[in-house]
Amino acid sequence: MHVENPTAQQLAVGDFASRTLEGQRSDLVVEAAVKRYGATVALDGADFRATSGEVHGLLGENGAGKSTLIKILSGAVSPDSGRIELFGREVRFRRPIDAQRAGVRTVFQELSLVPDLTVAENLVFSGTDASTGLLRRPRRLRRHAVKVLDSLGVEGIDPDALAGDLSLQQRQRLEIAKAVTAEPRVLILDEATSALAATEVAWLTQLARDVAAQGAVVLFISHRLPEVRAACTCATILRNGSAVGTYDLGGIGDDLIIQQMLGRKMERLFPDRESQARERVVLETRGFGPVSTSGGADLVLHEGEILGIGGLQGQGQAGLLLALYGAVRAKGDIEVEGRPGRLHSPAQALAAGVALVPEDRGTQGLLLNKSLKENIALGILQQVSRYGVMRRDAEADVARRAIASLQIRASSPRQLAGQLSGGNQQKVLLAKMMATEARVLLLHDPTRGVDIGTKAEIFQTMDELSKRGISIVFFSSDAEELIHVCDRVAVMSHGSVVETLETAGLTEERLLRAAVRGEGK
Amino acid sequence: MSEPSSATAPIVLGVRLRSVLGRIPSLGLKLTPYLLLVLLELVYVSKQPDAFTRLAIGFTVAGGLCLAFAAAGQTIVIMTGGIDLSVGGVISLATVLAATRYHNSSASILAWTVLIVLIGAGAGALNGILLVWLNLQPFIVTLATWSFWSGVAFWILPVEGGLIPQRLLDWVNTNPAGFAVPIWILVVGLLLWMLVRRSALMFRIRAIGSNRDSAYLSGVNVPLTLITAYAISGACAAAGGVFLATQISSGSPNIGDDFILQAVAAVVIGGASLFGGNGSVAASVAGAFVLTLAGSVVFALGFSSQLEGVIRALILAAAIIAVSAGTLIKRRRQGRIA
Amino acid sequence: MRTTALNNAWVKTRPYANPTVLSFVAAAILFAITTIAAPGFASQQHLPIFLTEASFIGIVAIGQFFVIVAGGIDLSVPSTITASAIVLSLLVGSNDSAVWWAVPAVLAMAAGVGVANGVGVTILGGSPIVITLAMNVLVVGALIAVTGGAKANSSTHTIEQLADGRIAGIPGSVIVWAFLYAIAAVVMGLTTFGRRLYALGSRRTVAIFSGVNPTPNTIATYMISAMLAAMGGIILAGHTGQPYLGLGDPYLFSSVAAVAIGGASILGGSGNVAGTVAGALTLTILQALFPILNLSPAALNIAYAVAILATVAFAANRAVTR
Repeated sequence: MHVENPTAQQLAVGDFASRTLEGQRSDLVVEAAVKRYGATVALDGADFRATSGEVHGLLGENGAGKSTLIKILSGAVSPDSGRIELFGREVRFRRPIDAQRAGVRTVFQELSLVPDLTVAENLVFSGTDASTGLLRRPRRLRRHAVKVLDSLGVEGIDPDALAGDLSLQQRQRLEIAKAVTAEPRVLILDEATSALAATEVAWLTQLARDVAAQGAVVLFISHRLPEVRAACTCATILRNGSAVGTYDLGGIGDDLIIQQMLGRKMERLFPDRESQARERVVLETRGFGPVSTSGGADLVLHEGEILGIGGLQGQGQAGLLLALYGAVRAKGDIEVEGRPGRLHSPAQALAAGVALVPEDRGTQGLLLNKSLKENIALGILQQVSRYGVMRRDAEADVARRAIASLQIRASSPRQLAGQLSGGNQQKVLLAKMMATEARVLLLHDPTRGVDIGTKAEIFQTMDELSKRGISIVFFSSDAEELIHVCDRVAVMSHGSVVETLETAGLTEERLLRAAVRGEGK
Repeated sequence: MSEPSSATAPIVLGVRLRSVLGRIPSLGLKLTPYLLLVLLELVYVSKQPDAFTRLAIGFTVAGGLCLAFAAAGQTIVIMTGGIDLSVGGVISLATVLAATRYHNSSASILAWTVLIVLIGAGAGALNGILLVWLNLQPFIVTLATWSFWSGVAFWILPVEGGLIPQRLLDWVNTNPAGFAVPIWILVVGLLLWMLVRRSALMFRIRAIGSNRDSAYLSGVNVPLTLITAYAISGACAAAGGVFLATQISSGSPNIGDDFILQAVAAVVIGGASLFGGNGSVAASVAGAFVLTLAGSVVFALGFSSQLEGVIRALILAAAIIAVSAGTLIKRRRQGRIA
Repeated sequence: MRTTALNNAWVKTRPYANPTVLSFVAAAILFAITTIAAPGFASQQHLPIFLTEASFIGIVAIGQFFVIVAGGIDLSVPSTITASAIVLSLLVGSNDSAVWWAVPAVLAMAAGVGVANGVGVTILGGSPIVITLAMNVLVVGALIAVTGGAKANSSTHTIEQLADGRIAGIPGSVIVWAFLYAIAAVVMGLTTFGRRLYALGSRRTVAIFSGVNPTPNTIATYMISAMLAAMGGIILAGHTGQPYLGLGDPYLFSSVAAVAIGGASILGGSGNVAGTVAGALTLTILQALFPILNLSPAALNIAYAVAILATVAFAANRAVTR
């Protein structure tokens, strides 16, 4: 393998092992872990070592084995073979409770909060009877929750609110609090920053360091390299189910990291693009938003434009997209292609040429138990049928074209959506909405939990769409994405757009300042 | 840690205020079964003034206690997001066993009562085991086991009959400290619920119904908790069946069938979500007595028994509409469409 | 139960074999066993009788299938069957020609019940179990109130012929069953309406976000179920000659069981109408088996239980992605 940067300090697994012999202990050891799901090999003899006292990053594409490794360490899944050693003792986890008893706490990507329990109850809830005393006394429980949340610097969450009513960002912070407050010996943060804003990522980074300093092993998994660099001292890269190396992050460049993750050199993440925006206005809103939230957004979207939606998390961006799509009841004025009037349902929105790629591909976007073909066809039933009778050939045709144009990696159009990787599922979802021939595409964080390779492909697709005159409203929690992909960014705060910035020459700091300034209003 | 900025303080206050205000409609929803109960009792008493005596109340409680037991057990199962149709068979089986196995001695009665409740628990546990092992939906599993236990009941006692010892019948009709035995049973049962309401087991049960994956990842032993929940339902059904036997003075192999859907209705009136995650045994018991009282009210109002069915359905419908409307209002406020 | 799609131990993929095929195999095995135990079972005299019995369950099960696939369930089927049978008999009386307007009238009445169910489930937002349950009680209550419990007698020629009359040796009820099945199979398998129902039952939110309007589609399923139940009631009226209260009661259990045995998921989103045929046949064979083997109703119940669990356990689609 050609090493780009000859000055990079590369500690191969072998080197690390030899350091161990010199007296440096490894507190967490995974040896030759193997996990197969049917024909798919998720982990192919992965070796992994980490020490307490430092934050250890874990990098890799979707399908590289990161999530499987995490699940094994958390006890959610049992490995087919291999051993795990924790602080010198071999452990065997059959269920999450075993891992928890051993002091492992994980902030899961899918979140383990119980929606019908309150924040306070979720903080102490576990499968054991340990928290019985607190659970029985609501007032004491509440005080405990307030104390914990305050001591961790988590603000703005009502201890008596139901977890299911919180925003995604609040839930993620609560999940983090729940894991940290248990004083774990091993803390695993699996994509714990995916819904957090920049300020909160800094909070989490500091928290991770504090927990590590108290003698715990801390694993930090994220798709965002800058975050991994900020939080971790070293990182292990997984590829195709095994570890390709553990690296000291201080002296290694992004290009090499990505190269190791992909096993090949990668072209740039963001396409080299120019604004394709034309004069004509395709969407205009005034004071628009869900009825249940305060504020209202004023937006102007031009043909062929990619308009970003930014701002701190939980400022109404998600609600705005849902309201634009007719999925929630809306207030305010809106004109689509010059025609005034709100859209009262997604069906109406689609008819008007507006399509949404929703936040949660598993529960809002795709039918995981149905084939690729069927999923894509669902949004365009009229196009692939005649007088109400389905035309199988048309359906298959659309699916094949979608797979080809978006380079979806699937065995056939008949493969179940649930069997695809996260990145490919996202592509199917995008294809489904593109097939509706919508002129306005609303994208809600389309690259969340998606590997770098697929991300680049999605951005490329967005660029091609804009060249074809399709307008895109792009909501992302990643400021870098907004700056490099969009023509303009509308910064939101409390449900209203406080500032709209051109992305030419825009910096992350400027964007953040606009977002924070909106807070003070 | 960063200092909470002054800018966030109003946000926190706003969040707190909104959550308090937001809980008022759901509080109203929680009181629905009790309000309905009070309303029905008032109507009943206005037509029959002597209905408010301890004697009359004792009769009412006796009439609805079996359903109350069934509803209590059903609540636990519904909280896990499931449903238990097998209570029909278990209740029938309990009456049949009581009518054929009891001898006229305290020891026999006591021992067999405990045994019958244990059999009910076992039947429930079997539901849980099949559920987990075969990975099937509760509806189908309990549909099958309902049929099975009905079959066992038919096998033991093909036609309604058997004998309940006079001793037991007499005891049930006594009035310790001035209150009828059924009232005591009800009170003890509710006290038990108060104790158990916020136990770790209840939270585990609610967690499974709320989000099974979250419960698993939080460390809950899902299979064991499910089996426990269904076992509780079976035990409650069996207890209800034993009591029912004392009311009809015999055993019947198919009397339990009517209780299934009525128990579910009682739970719905009690306000629990059929998707799981929430529920109160006390509210479901109130719902059970709402249904029971409905029958008495029909009678008191002078309607023919033919209309009883319609009136019951109307009351059930009214309760459903009230609960649905409440949820509907809440959802409209949140602006949710999907 | 709200669960997330967790790509780990909770997601099992693909059934062992096509659930519908499995259910037919099970039915065939049972048939073979019965024929061995009672050689006259498959005879030319007996087979039509057997198929007639199966057709009642089959017709109602088709309606139940529509509702279940779209994510609901119809517990008001018993009273709809009973009410349709009794009302038809009362409307027709002994006037044979009245059949031509009485049947549509009864179907329209059933459609009304179905729409009421559908509205309750969609617009009112109630749970299907509760709404259809209440409807069941209401319909019976209304029936008693209106008819005053009068005895109905449906011995007119046309209705009898509809149920028991033969064309090429095949009983009328079986022909009606086959006809309704064919329509249902085409609708569910080939039309956009069928796709929408499968989507609604798989995950309602996704369907809505894909542009499916849940309200009219869901109401339609309850309407279809009620009308098919009414069809079953009408044919039953012709078959029994004297419809009585409680006529429809056994069909709640058997319609749901037939759908489940046929391999459809009780939660909705998957399954094949053909499976209901296998389910109806299986249940009818079991019913027939017991008098033949001289077993009590007790044993029948136990056998039902085992049959349901066994077939559903093997045939159930194991892709648990809910």
